[in-house]
Amino acid sequence: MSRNRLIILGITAAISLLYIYMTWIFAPPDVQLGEDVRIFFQHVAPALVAYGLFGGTLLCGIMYLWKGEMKYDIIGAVTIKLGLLFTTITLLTGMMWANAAWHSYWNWDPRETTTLILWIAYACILAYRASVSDRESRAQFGSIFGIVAFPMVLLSYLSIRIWDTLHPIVIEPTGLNMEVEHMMTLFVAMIAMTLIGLILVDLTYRIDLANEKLMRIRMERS
Amino acid sequence: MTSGLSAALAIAKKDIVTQFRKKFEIFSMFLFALIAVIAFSFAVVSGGSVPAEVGSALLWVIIFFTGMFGFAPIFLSESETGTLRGLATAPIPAWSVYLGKVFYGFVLMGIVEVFLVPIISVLFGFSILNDPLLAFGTIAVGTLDLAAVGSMASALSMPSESKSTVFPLVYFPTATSGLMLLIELTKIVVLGSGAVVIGAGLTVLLIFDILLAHLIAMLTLSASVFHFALSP
Amino acid sequence: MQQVELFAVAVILWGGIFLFLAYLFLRMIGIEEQLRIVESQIEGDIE
Repeated sequence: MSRNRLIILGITAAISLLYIYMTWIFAPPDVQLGEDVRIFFQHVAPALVAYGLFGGTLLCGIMYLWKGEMKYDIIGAVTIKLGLLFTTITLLTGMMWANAAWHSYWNWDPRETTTLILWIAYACILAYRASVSDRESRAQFGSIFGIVAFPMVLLSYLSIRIWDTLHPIVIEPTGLNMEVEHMMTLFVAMIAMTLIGLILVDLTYRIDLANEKLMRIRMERS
Repeated sequence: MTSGLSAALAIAKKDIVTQFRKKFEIFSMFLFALIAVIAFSFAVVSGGSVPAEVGSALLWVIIFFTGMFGFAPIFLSESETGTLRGLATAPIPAWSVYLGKVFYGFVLMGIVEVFLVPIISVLFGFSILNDPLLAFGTIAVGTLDLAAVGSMASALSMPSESKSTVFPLVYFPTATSGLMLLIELTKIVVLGSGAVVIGAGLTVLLIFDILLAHLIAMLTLSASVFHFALSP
Repeated sequence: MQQVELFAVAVILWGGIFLFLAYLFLRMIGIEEQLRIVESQIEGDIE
């Protein structure tokens, strides 16, 4: 555990505490949503982090094909796994919010549908990667797959603009469409979630790297 | 550039000629589509008819599944017969191999659609002739999009342990984004642009542009990474 | 939704994140220790 990692861990813990405080105590109840607005911060921040992680999959795919170093492929696989985790959180909190606001857990809203498709799509990549046994071709073809699957992320992000939807459009070209306190809370939530996501990526990457080395040593011995 | 294109056309022509010599594959694709029509009819027919928006959406769902049947062998058959080595070592750029396969998939699917689209529109009782230009454009661009995705998916499923199981897994994530736009456009064609509620400030043309952008993105992305797929 | 329910959501979400973090941390320590042992064994074999 290096010193830098400890510092980042401390900063993340502090911002996370601030995030919890701001979400549950600082943010005033919304005019329309009332207390339910508190789920909003648990919903939007993981969603944006998940999009970011899937963007990371795209970048890692390009970097692997360009440089051919195995570490990019391992990071790419890690971003898929953690992107799935954050998408799951998004879907679950979204369902709670949908139940509170629209009185039904699932409404087949375009955003909900495309997010579910996104989840299935990246789970497909994981299943595909598991089905390729040769390590080199898994990295190569998995990277290509990670690149060509990315348009789904864009469609999910743009879905509320393409289809008529119940989802409120919060981020408008003119700025954020909400109260100042909520904006501040969302900002802190974004930073906290991004830092937590980065720490998760780092930890999972180190685990996968060590795992891979162990596997290779065992293969060579047997 | 032109030599690459002519190589692509040559590959497509070779595949189409081979395909016509053994006609059963196109015919079985068509039969599969009809089976899908019947299977879906159990779910959607109510009171002797199908709502127009459901029927027009099912058109693309059925083409999507038929494509799963038709695009999977594009590269798998090459890798089974061992001709893929020849393609990989031939003195032509990799993207022209990919483009040739896309043309071939487009023609294959197009032949099936020539028969399939009228039959489905009669059986499900909707007309795509309200706006023939948009309908024709949507079907052409959509088929090309599915062919682009299908060829890439077929190439990606080559190194896998269980090729036929994995093909749908690769095809679904890449094709669904186009499929949703296609269904939306076909709904607009069938119901008229006034009847379909789309997001504020969006026109039919803009959705078509997004679809075109999706097609171009798919083609360029796949074509630019394709030489990695040919050299495992 | 009631305050209690919202509180439950918070506990589940943050509890989950921290449990997952702790799990990953422990696993990382375990697997790096394992790797270190195996690598030192290989060096021993070579000598």
